[in-house]
Amino acid sequence: MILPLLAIIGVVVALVLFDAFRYKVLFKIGCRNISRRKMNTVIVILGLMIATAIISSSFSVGDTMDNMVEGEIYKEWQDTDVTVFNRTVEGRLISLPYSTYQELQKDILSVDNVAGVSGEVHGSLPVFNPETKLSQPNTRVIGMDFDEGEGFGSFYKGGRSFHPELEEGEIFIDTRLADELEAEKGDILVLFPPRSDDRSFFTINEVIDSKGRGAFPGPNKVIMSLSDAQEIFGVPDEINYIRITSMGGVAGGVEYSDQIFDDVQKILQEDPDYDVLEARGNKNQVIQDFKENMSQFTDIFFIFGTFSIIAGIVLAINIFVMLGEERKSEMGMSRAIGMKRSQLRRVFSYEGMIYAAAASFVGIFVGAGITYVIFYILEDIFATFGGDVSLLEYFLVTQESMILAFGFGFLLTMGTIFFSVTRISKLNIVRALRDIPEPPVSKKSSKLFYLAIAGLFVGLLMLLIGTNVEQLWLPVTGISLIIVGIGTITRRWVGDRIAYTGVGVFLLIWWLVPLETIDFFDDYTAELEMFILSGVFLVTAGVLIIMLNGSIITRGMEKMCRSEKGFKAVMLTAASHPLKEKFRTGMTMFIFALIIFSITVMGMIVGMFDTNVELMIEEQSGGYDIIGMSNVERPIDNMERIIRESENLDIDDFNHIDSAYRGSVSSSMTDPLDRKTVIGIDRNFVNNNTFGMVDFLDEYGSKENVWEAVLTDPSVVITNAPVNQFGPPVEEGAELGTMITFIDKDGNPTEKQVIGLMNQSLISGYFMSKETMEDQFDISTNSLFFFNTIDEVDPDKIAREMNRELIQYGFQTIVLGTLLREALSATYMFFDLFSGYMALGLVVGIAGLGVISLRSVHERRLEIGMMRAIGFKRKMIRYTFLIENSFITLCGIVLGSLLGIAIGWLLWYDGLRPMGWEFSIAWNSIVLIGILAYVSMFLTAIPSAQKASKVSPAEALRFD
Amino acid sequence: MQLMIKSKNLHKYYEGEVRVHALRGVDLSIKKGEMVAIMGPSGCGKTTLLNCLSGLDDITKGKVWLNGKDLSALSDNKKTEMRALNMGFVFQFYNLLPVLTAVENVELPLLLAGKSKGARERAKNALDMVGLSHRYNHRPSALSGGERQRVTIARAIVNEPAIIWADEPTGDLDTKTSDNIMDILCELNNQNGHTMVLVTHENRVADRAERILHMENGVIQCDEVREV
Repeated sequence: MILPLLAIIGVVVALVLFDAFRYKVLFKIGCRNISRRKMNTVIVILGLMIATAIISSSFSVGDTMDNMVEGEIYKEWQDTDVTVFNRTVEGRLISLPYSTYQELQKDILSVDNVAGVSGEVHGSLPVFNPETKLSQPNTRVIGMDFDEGEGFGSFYKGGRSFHPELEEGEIFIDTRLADELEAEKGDILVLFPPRSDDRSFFTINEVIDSKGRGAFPGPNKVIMSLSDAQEIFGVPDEINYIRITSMGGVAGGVEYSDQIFDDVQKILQEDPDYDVLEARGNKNQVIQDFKENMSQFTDIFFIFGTFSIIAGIVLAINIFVMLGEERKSEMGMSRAIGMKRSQLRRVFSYEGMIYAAAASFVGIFVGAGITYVIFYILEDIFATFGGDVSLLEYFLVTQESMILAFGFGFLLTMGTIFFSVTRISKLNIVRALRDIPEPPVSKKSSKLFYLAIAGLFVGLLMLLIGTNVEQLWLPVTGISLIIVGIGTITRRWVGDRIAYTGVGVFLLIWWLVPLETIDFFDDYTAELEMFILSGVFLVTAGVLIIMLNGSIITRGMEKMCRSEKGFKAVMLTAASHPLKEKFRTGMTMFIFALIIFSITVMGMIVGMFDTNVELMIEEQSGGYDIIGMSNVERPIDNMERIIRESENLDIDDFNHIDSAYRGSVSSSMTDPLDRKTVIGIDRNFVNNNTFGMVDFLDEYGSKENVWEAVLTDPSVVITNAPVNQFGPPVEEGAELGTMITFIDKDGNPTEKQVIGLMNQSLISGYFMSKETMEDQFDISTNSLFFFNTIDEVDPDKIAREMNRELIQYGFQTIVLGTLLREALSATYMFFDLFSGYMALGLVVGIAGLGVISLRSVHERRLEIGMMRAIGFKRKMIRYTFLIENSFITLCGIVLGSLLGIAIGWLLWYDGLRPMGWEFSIAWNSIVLIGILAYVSMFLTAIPSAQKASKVSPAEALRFD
Repeated sequence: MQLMIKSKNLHKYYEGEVRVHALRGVDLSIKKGEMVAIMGPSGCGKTTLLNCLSGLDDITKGKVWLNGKDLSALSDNKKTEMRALNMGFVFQFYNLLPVLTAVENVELPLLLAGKSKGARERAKNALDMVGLSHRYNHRPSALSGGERQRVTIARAIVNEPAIIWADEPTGDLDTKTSDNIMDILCELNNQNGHTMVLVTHENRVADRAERILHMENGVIQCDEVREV
């Protein structure tokens, strides 16, 4: 990517410089224009750098995420590169005789680049500290042969390595578990062996760091001798887990991970003694998978940043058009004395190239700064989820990203400059010399007519392509272009005002029609690009309507101030100027409206989340208060009996308790790693749950029939739909009507159709009957429990009690209301972060307005002098400028807010209303953003208003 | 004497909210080396006539020949080249490039016309001719109004054009400076034989020309040839 980009930049720069060499005097003019007004130059660079800053920040978000992924995985995996193990469908690890392992070890050691192999016994057990009464239900217990550690590094305590020596009945625990159990060296911990009521007692020999050989992915580890682990897990003379390390060390080993993984997999598959195990973990693959997931996050930032990039481009056009206007008479004279249009373009292009380079350079660092702030906020959000990763520690901007951001920013800015300069160079010499405004484009303009025809053609083409590929943005944009094309053609007969007001109105109608009312688009897919396109088209439509009918608003403004002495004159002049400069006013209004639109839509979504939080919790929780999971090694046969027998739990605190089987089933005959989660349910669960159903096959008629079919028909399943904004990702392929393949206990494929999609994301998997799970997959263990408590009790308190009482089962609970509220709170923080990111565009808007006001004072010195001469007081001049800016800003704010509310309504109507959500308008945040934007603008406009008011009438009239 | 400028049935309309018929069939001939003043009340079409004759503005109807070439047959680029090679312009508000020094401003038409060899010397000579040898490296903002106008005159003559067009060249100057500028223009006309067309509303300025065209309402009402 970098080389082609650098090549393009190189070509552009070389062409411009070569050209500059030929036209030295033009280059000189271009360069000197830059230093002409230093403040102007600063504003131009600030305006132009926004696009680069957004691009740079999205790249550096990616860099930091990648760096974090690598860093965290290196921390957890340390020297381990490949892991070998296998599980039963219920999730238990499968064992291999130690003698067979020794043969396998020799084979693995013969693989290229392998530095060491460790045969271990792993399992997950509840651990209890009798001293502190604290427990951890799911602790990773690792038994290893300490003589087999070559290549895996040392054990560490307090940052220093040590030689491990464990007596029988002694263990190491990691610092995290020590903190959780408040345990220390010498304490005795209770471990609950699997599938028995026994308890085992172990003394802590050392609290170790999660580093070197003592590291393993995930928190809470107990490390013991291989023989102790074999005994506690009931696998004498067996191992169930193999770790392999390569020559490269912690980071360098990644280079060999794939090769070792493939070679080891081959060895395992070729020998029937080994084929119970599979190569399952590959450090490099884990890094790549995580990076891929994280790239979606980077993309989201880029997409949300698009609004600011568009605003930045519009500002750049505005700035150059203004520069053009400012230098109009000079350009007119230059043209008069022999400068060709192409030469005029050259002067601006040289100047623009320097601006673009400077702005792109500054943009890289501003973007990196934005990323730093993003990660500062993200650290808080991650902490809400219980994460303890120090994100800022991983903050990184790679050279590659800096070059890419500079390159894209530079080319984007240069493209914008070329576009603006082409427009500028078409000036009429006489009008430029005499500073007469350009006349409106003739009704009979053949250029516009052909452009309109081209627009119609492109629109039709997009419509046609869109209907083939079923991507919503294509036909919707196509029809919008057709509307613009027709409007531009009709202006020949009805004039600009009627034609383009019509275009605006039709665009508004078209983009605000609920898609649900258009059956044609039922199967079309739409992504976030629709959000951006809707913003661009709706705001363009709104700005067109306002700019062409602004006189109605300004008449209203004049009337409002009729009674105030002298202020009618102020209002008259203040209202007329923005409408006289339609292009620049329209562009500035567009920037404001677009950004306010994007923030308002986000605010609307958050507002509706807020309004419907209880409904969401009800739907997501399925009417249950607590979900519990037992340790796979210690299944619970009868939950009700255990609760009845418990001293601290009361069965009367529960309305009902439902249970489910859970397992992981292979989904492919060829790829053993392709597994799917299956959940077995019974009639109690069907009768008691209130999970919403997003969609189901029509032939079943009702939600109840769908559940009934799952109980009675082994060929159908229900799964959760990918509609939720929080929680874990859903299973792939979870689309209504699709056939999902599962491999049954005999190794034969069996297909099941997805007949319903549940509106929840907490329990991810394919729901089928318990009987089907028993018959086809040999899973018959209840390991998932659903509790509905009575209103009088606190689910959090009951869950804590259950964790304590059922510690020997490794029982873990989730209090759904609490979890969902926490998830929602984190979601709000994400929304706030994205809103803040989008609000960067406001800086563009305010900067744009700042440029316009400052230039206005300069341009209108004579006019100001005249106004002062005929009786305008200083404060009246000040008010005139402030009202002008207020007019543009307020129009933008109101327009953006209204359109944002409209799109919020549309989102609700098409997507949330069918789920029973209530519509609401987030007035608080909308008004707050509006006020913030207005106040910022006001503060920016004050210096120029002050400057205008200080213009001396005598001097202005004499010298201008 | 050779004809330098000729127009026949020249019409110019300005399109806009109200259509303005600025020139209503102007027929005109100006010989090489003539100094012609165009006079008339405000809005009579003086500047429009100058702009149309010089090719700065497009004409709506009729024909204009410059040195025998039909202007309407030329492309924008050709007209621009023609201006660069054969014409000089002096305007009321100087219109100098503020980022260039006096000598650079004067040099500009030569560079645009591709005559870069010896351009700097010629620019200095032109400035010497208008009495600004001490102001070569000053930017326009450091010059007085009269000096700026002299720079524009130097710029207008630097490429030794066949025609010099001047639109209210003294409109922004005091009487003394104005006389000084007119002295320079007359001297250039006498010594170098430049054809000179100037638009003015000042009788004192027009009196320096050997021929005065009086315009009214878009047509030439009177063509007065004078002894200077």
